This record gives sequence, structure tokens and C-alpha cells, in this order.
Amino acid sequence: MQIGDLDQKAIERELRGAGVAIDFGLARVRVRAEVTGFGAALQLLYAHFPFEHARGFFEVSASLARGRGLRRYIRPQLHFVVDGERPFEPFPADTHLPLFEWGVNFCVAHRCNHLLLLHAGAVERDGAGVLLPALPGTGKSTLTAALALRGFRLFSDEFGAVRLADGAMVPAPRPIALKNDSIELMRRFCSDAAFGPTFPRTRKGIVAHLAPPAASVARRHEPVRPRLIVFPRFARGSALKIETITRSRAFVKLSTNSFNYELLGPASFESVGRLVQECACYSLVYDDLEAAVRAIGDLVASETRDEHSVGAGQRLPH
Amino acid sequence: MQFADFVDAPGRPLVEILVEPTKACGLSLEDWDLVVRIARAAKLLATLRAHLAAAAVLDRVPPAVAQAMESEVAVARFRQQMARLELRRVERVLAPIDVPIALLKGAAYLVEELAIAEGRLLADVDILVPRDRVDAVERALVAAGWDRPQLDAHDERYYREWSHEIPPLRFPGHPLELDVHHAILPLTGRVRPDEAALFAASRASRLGRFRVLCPEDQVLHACAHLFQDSDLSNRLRDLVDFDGLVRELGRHEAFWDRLLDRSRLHGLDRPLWYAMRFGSSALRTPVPRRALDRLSETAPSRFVGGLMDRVVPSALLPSYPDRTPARVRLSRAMMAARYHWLRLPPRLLARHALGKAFRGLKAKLAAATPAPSPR
Repeated sequence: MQIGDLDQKAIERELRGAGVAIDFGLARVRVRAEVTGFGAALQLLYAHFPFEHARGFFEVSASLARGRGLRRYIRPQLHFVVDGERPFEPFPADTHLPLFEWGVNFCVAHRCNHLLLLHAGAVERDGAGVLLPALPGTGKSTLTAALALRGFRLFSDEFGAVRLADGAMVPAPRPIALKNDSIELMRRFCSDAAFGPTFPRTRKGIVAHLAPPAASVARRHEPVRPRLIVFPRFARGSALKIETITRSRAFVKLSTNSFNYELLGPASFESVGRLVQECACYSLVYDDLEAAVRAIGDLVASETRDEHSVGAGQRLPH
Repeated sequence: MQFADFVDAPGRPLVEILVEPTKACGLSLEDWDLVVRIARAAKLLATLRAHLAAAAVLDRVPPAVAQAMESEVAVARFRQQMARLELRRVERVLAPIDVPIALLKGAAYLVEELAIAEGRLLADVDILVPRDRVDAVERALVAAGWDRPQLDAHDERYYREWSHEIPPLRFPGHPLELDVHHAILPLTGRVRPDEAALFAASRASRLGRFRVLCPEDQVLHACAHLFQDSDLSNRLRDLVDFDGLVRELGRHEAFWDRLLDRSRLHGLDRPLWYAMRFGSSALRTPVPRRALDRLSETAPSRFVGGLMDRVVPSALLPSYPDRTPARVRLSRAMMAARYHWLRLPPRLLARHALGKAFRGLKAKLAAATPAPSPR
């Protein structure tokens, strides 16, 4: 039984009761909510996740709680509550799903310091992990979504999560938040892409989420060895430009765009050092999304060709 | 008396594991879920891991739980590293000033490498300087780049006249605050430990020019901090500090006699009595019978003692992560009232409460008036 197969009454009942459990590989979340509409949005975007009763251990136990008093009726608000704390300001009550996604990202960034967390899109093809580290607003989510819709396995549009012990990339396939123009762009890019509801008034403008592909969800417990690091930058009207970049420059760019590089101290220094040693590093400037996806596909193909010739590519432990 | 008997306490499994780490071996994943959430809320998750490691039962912890603990350990380690950095900066900046500086609480445990420092989650760095030098120290730190918080006139006055510390300073971009104390309890309170005696008995620390309080004063400061200067709400961690300090510093035969002498000197018999009572019942802190007997004169009356026995555990222990039962809310309200009572003489307390209510009302009125949206 998957979350998408449940009838809506049942999911609402679970949300108001023990909560709905979502295991997205990197972590397990239990969410409860007392707001209508959230259940339906959750079903659209987490359709391919198995439905589980909220028992066992969860890294994050969160609830979406309605504001008290007047805030229940006048411009109602919704709070993200985790272990009795409200770590940030409430959202308007009708932006439940963006609040949930933002809250889970917040918790992952604070509670998953057993991993190096790069601010990066992450995908995989043919056993080669690809990291797409970029600052917010440079089209990272859009490019990650495009790759996921063209047969790459989605790891995450936000967290390049790397195990400290063996350098493997850990999947965290969750809905991809697209903003403003990217939403229409992605609908044109793939006409049958599975979108959630559109939220017209968030702090970041219009937001809609793309559901993670079923195949990526099914393999969410399979880590992969990273092989390629591509620093993408969207530039309107620019021709496609791919350049190799030096390991030292890649090191600086990775270490300054991480959620916990400083916090992990020597461990992250080692980990980023290993990444730039083991991966081919490129910068990519693009305007045309199709061309960018093809280019990354070609880079993966050349990397995996090399790999077959040296006979690497061993299976990673889960 | 058994501490946890009074409450159907969700924090009970956590307390039991802290006391006897082998009890962790039989936990189901559901049990762990509650223990981890509660330990996190009590800022004891990394400490819990340290206890499990010391008892060599870490390998019995399920992998997902172990990862959550590792993550918290990384955070604790980072903050400790940042605290060391802060102390080195403070030392450099204050080099020209001839003033004794004692490290308090977490900073002292860290520098002295006490067992309780392992996994202890620091929020700030506390130092103690003599009151007549506090202005010079503050000026030097602010001149070197530490920021003072923006305070309204009332809060400024609160810190300057009533408090035992100046407003917290923060170096820009630094994750920890620097709290400069000139006393270990508020100046307005009923108990006034002798700062000159604190400095006179202090000793050189393992870090540069910094000093630490003598072991007995460190223990007494932990007691005072919890039972004289807090509302006890969700403060299990402070009791764990007391327990760890006694276990590590109290090994010498002479420790208890010296502790009781120092306690009398500072007027801290009552907080010490409570710490011994609740530490020994909840965490099995090794407290000799004769120590409790020697404090019998200053122990609370049967009525007050009985009341505290009923109220302290439910206020102090972590509650459910998702809800706070009425009993816990009541206990915490009572302990908050006690805290204010201990801290402020009645006339000041009334003025403080009225002022606070008035400012709250003003803020509410201001919020109700529509202001132009910043966005």
C-alpha cells in the first residue's frame, strides 16, 4: 500500500491521529496536521512512498498546528512544531505543504550532522553520482528537476548528503520546490510531470512542487559513489559552456556552500578533499535546459566509460 | 523516596539510562524514539551518548539512533571548539588588563577536561570578574569588536542594578554568547555568596591566565544555579551537572567537609540540600548520610520539603514532547513563582511585574494597530 493509494479520509484520519510516516532514505519523518488540504497535497507528492503506521524511530516528529485565538479565524496561520519547539515564524494556513517541506529541510540541516551536507542538487545515472552545488536562485532545483524527468535518479534538489565514513552519496528523494517561472518551464519541459497544488502566495512567490519519480523513491535506500561535480549557473541568452575546473577551486566552492562544513571540522575537510579527488569537476553555464541535461548525460557517459575500463564500480553497502 | 515515583514521567526512561546505561539494551525502536526526543529537548542527547559509550553499550544502540546521537555529538564538539576560540580571543583582548578571570560552568568543565564536558551542549561562555573591574572588562571587549545587545531602558537597568551579569556580548558571526558575571547570584536576591572568597579560593586553570573556582565552589555554583537562580523547568541537565561534578570532584575524603564549610560561608546550604536530595534520589548521586545530617538545621521544614518533593520532579524532568500535562504546567508555574520570589525582594518584584505587564499591554496595542507591511 502506497500513500497515493490511500483514500483521502484515511490519510486525514492518520494526520489527525498518530501521524503519517515518510521514510525518504536520508531520514524518517512523522507528521501530524490539523489542517484541511494538506492530506491531499501529501498524497499527490508522496504518492509512491509506502504507507506505514507511524511506529518506530523517527529523526523528525513534526506537526502542523493552527494558530490559537483570533489567528484561528482572521488570516489563519500554521506553525511548524517539532518536539514542542516552533523553530520559525508561522506561515499562512493555506501554505501547508511549503511549510512542511521547509520545516523538514530545516530539521535535516540541523539533525543530520553525521553526514556532510552540501547545498547541492544530487542525481545518479549508470551508477555515477552527480552533485550540482549552487547558491539559491541559480536554477539548481530546476536543473535537478529536469534531470529527474529525463531518466536520472533523483537524490535531492537541496542536499548533497555525503557519508563521512566512505564518501557515498545518500538519497533523499522528496518533492522539488519550483518557483515562479520555473513552474511553467517545467510543465512545458515534460507535459506529464506530476505536480502538486500551486501555492500562489509564499514568501518566495508562487511555489509548486514536482513529485519525485517512482523509480527514485523505490531506490531511496541505495547510496551511490559520487563521480561528477558540476557547478551549474543559469544565464539567460548564454550559449552552453562547459569548463573543467581545478580541484582546489572546486574544494573552495564546495566548502563555502555547505550546511555544516564548519561544524564538522576536520571530518568535512577530509570529506570534501576526497570528493574533489574522486570526482571530475566542471562548471556549466546554460540557458537551454535540454542542452544542459544532454551535456550532463554526456559527462556521465564519459566518466562511466572510464570506470568500466578500470573495472571499478563496486556495490556500496546500504 | 524515589524521585520518578511522583510522576508518570515521560523523562523516566532517559533518567534510568543515564543512571544505568545497560538499561538501554532492552529498548525497542518506539522506546528509543521517545528517549531521543526527550533527550534532545533536555539538551542531553550527546551526554546520553557519552554515558552509553562509557558503559561500553554503544553497539547495542540501533543504527538510526546512533546516527542521531553522532549528529548531536558533532554539534556539541563544534560549540566546544568555538568556546575555546572565544576564550583565546578574550585572553588576547584582556591581556593589558590586570584582573583575575574565573571560568564558570561549561567553560570551566571544558578547560578542566571534566568527564561531564563530554557531549555537553554549550550555549554560551561564562566568565567571572570582580565587580569593580567589570566596566573595564566590558569596555575592552566592546572596543575589540564584541557587540552589546540593543536593550530598552528597563532591561538595561535590570542588568546593571539587579543582575549578576552584564548584558550578553557576542562577537559578530560567533555562535556563542559571552556572559561576563560579577557575581554568581543576582544582587537583589536573598542569598549573596561571597565573591571575594570565590576568587581567593580559585585556582589556575589549564588554559592560560584563566582561573577556575575551587572544586567545592564549582559544585555549589551548580546548586545555586539550579535551585536558587532558575525556575527548574526542564532543567534535568543542571542536576546531571551536579551529579557528574560530585562523582568526579568528590572522591577525596575531605571533600564533603570542605563542601559543607564553603556552603555555610556562601549561604548556600539550602540549594545544596535540594541538590543532594534530588540528585541522590533521581540520579543516585553518592551523597554521604552525614552530609545531609550536617545540613539538618538549614534543611527546609517538613511542609516545604514535602511540597518540593512533590513539585520539583514534575517541573524539572522533561515532559512529553507534544503536550504538557496540567500537573507539569502547575508545577512549573509554582517553581517560576518561587524563582521570582528568591530573586527579588517583594517591593522590587511588584514593580518588576507591574512594569512587565504594562510593557506587554503596550506591545499588544502596538501590534493591534495596522502597520505598513515591510514586504
